[in-house]
Amino acid sequence: MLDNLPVGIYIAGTSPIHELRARTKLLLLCWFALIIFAANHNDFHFGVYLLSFGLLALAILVGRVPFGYIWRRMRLLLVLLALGIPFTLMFTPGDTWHTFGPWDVLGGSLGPVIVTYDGIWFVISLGAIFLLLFLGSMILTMTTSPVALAEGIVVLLRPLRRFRVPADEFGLMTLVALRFIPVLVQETEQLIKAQVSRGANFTTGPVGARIRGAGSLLVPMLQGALRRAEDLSMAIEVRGYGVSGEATLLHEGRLRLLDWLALLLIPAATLLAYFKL
Amino acid sequence: MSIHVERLTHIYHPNTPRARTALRDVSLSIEDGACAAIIGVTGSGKSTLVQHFNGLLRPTGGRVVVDGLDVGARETRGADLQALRQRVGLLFQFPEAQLFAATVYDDVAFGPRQLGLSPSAVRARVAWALDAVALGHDDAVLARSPFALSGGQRRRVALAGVLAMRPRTLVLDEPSAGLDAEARAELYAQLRTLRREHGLTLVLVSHDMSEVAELADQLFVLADGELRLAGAPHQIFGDTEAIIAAGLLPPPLALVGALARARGLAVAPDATTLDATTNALLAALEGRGDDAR
Repeated sequence: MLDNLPVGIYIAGTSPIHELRARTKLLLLCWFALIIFAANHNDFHFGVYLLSFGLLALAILVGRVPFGYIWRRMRLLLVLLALGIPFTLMFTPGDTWHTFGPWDVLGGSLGPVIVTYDGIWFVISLGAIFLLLFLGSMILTMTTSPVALAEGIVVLLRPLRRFRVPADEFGLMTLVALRFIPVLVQETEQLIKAQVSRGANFTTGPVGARIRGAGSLLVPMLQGALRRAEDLSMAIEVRGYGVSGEATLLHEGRLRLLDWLALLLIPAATLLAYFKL
Repeated sequence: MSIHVERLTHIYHPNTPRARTALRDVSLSIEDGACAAIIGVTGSGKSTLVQHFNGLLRPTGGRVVVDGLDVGARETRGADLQALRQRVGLLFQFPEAQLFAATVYDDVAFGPRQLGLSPSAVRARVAWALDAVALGHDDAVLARSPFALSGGQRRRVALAGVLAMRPRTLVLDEPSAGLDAEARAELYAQLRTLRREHGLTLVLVSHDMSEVAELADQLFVLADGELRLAGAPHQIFGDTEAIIAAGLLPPPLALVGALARARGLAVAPDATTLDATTNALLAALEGRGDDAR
């Protein structure tokens, strides 16, 4: 019932994309955001876009991320983007590309609609950055185990500890959140089934009954989540979390050749595309 | 009210990388008024199987026909399934985690209210259901918050919530998990009473064969999504090797019988109660005469 939740689910594998350290992937994702953001100010130059999307497509192929998964989760984003396009085109000021209308509608006049070069580029650049970040984070969460991801965040945040940023706590919070999303989804599914077995109807029927149905889910859901949080904090406490100061890492070892190559070549290539294309 | 399962296959998340076959080619029949036990280790597919009985899951392959209704058929509509869920009550694992209402009364009344009954009919059903689980229905109980009850009492409230739908068949998924011995004995006594007085068909899901053996007259052993053994308890208990192969622990009495047979004593494999096993052992020892001592 909740199969299409847009949470990235880790799919275990041994591809080079899986083998990359989590922090390498995180850094590259940040890099892509930066370079695309910069490229967006370079009107009607597509070099960086082409290269970035090419690299992501390569990552999807090499990492064997199932395309159907990505597509199912991307549909909603695409619909939202498509809904925004006409308005952006109509209302962005700038140099005129083409004037449509005015039309005579029911005796009055409507329009004219002026589509500008700036409007067109705005649509393209905004769409590109949305799609790229979405695809990138999909690939990241599908090829990185939650534990490794949390450790990657810890490693990246550690330098900030000097400024009293609680890096390890952030990592733990990320880990717990990622770890428990599937558990809570599963529990909710179970609850829906239990209440449906007792005659509840969440999708059809009168509004009053549906609201009652929602209550019959929310209360046990919250109660379960709170109970789980309490148990978890106790378990963490019992295992001596925070006693020795710094937690060691299981997955995020030294960067390997593959990581260095990715971290050097990808920014270099995109920079080249940025300046030369 | 009978349940017929023909070559049932169920695959979770079909056509995705997470596809997992939970049931493979399972066929079984549970007749009206029977008490069937579905036994298997964790992950053997028993919960998946029983969720077909009230239409929560639809078969990926094969057929499930409950009370003449083909659960998986395309023409079976939502309303048919809702009516089915009234006739087949399903109590999930750890049902006490599914309570939600402010009072015991409201929680048990949830199902009857969904059926659109009059307030007085709802009241009568709640009272009956709470009596059936031996909680009683005086106002002190009705007005309490279910969260203020003990774990065992909360589970009884959850059972009452299912019973208040007045199902003809009751499916219980691991009903005794986490209960102490006394609460467990009480639960089984209540189930026995329900069956005797109201003719309920019972389906018990369990991983503990000896626990359900006393109540059940049909056993189905699942392992890895396949039906491995089916039959009456006395037919299955003799086959301790097959039980162990399914990852389960044979009842101690069945093991005693098997051990005795392995030592050359002629003990019939169909003795399932303590009395019968003792008598069979004594008779076998008599038969062996002096050299047994």
